Amino acid sequence: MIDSQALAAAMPKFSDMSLFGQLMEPRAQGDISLSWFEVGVAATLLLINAIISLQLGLGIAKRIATSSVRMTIQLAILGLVLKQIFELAQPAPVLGLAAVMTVIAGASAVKRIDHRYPTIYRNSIFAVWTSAWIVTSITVLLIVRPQPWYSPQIVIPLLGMVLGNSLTGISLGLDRFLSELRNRRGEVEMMLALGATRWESCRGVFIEATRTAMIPILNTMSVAGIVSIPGMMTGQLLAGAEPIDAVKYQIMIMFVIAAAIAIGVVLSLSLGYRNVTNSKHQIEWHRIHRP
Amino acid sequence: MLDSFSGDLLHHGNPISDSEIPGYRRKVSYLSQRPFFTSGTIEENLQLPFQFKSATEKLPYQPELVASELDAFELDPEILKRPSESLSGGEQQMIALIRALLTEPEVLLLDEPTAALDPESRDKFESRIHHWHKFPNSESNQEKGRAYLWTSHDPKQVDRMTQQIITMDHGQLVLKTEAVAATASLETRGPREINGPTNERPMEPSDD
Repeated sequence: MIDSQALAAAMPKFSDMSLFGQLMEPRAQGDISLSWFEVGVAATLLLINAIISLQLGLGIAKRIATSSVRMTIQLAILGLVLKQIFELAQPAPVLGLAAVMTVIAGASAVKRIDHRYPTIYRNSIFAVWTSAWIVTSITVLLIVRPQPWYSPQIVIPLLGMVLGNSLTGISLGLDRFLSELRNRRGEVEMMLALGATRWESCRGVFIEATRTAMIPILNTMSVAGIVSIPGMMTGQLLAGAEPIDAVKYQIMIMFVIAAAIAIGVVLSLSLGYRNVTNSKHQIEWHRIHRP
Repeated sequence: MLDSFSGDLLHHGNPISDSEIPGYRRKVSYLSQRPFFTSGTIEENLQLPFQFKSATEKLPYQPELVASELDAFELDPEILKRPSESLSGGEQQMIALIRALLTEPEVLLLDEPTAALDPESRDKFESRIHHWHKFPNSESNQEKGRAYLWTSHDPKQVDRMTQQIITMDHGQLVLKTEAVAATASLETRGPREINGPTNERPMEPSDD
């Protein structure tokens, strides 16, 4: 943990801040705080990207700019409220905040999907909610076991991590399922015409969508430690944790995230499948539409 | 695969429950204008219907039957090993018909099956249908009989292939005649009265 007093002492005074002096001066041992100037240096890297994009006419400069500004504002607000959140001493507000985060995650999973069906928002929120809350509860209550159990410093970041991954999986899975179903309409109807049940006709598409949704986490898991040192572990190492402790935490969190994705994806795809087919073994094509 | 607008769907006089629908679709087999296949070899595609739950033990996949069907169309047996993407338009339609026939349907719904075929392939296709209609190869089918519903824009083909003609215009039935000389017919019907899916045709999606 970081001692706040030591941090304050190590931080340069605003008055004697000189640009080059800051860059040159070696840091005090154990000082991991960044000044806004140092954050700005990182932002410049993205600025170079934006300039290249403008030069080549890639058309993503505006997106880079909006995403960067959005991310900065969101995280800055988070920084401001996190202190208050961490001081919450009642389970109700912690769970309330968790619920709001979950609903937002479920809704944003749908945003990136090219095709929709009428109840897709409800389904996505339900899938994110169920998968993330089951997995986070197990992690908090059986693995991490903080005192008290609703400790916001543990519950909120953990849930956030699980939600972020689960929503990506659900988003990728549903997107693939719906677009692939439409692309392979002829094949699906051929199977129905030859006596397939609705499940038999959709199974291939379902499996492919599940695979697609799991690819990012499987990739992350397979290169973890070789190509990349995962984010959470990096954070713990920067904060001075023992490497082996950071590693154990990271392994645990990888399993937890992968489980959440798997549950969320299968749940959302099952709901999606049931919503675009009916008991007469028909595909209700008219329900699949573009937003 | 489409809803009926009104009325009841009967199969041999019995209503069809939801769970019986796949089996019913096997008996009343629909062949689309443009055949579709799953990726994989032709043989895998021919075996596909036999992997469905609606397949019965009484009627397994029979390689010797496949061989005789290929023979009827003068297709090389080596075709079974080819990937489904490699078929020509004519081959596709013949393989699709063989795939349907292997499941021994009672009724065939043929949606302009020869529209994309050359005259030679078209003749083979027509004669196979004639033969199928006249000579059921299993006893159960002998009792029940066989029928087909063939839609066509070709008056000569209508004459060759049908006994009873239904002329339709914009999805509405305008004329029902015994086939003598059909000239302006847009839609035709197979030889026997079909018990049930009579409203399947006008509702087919037009986008394929």
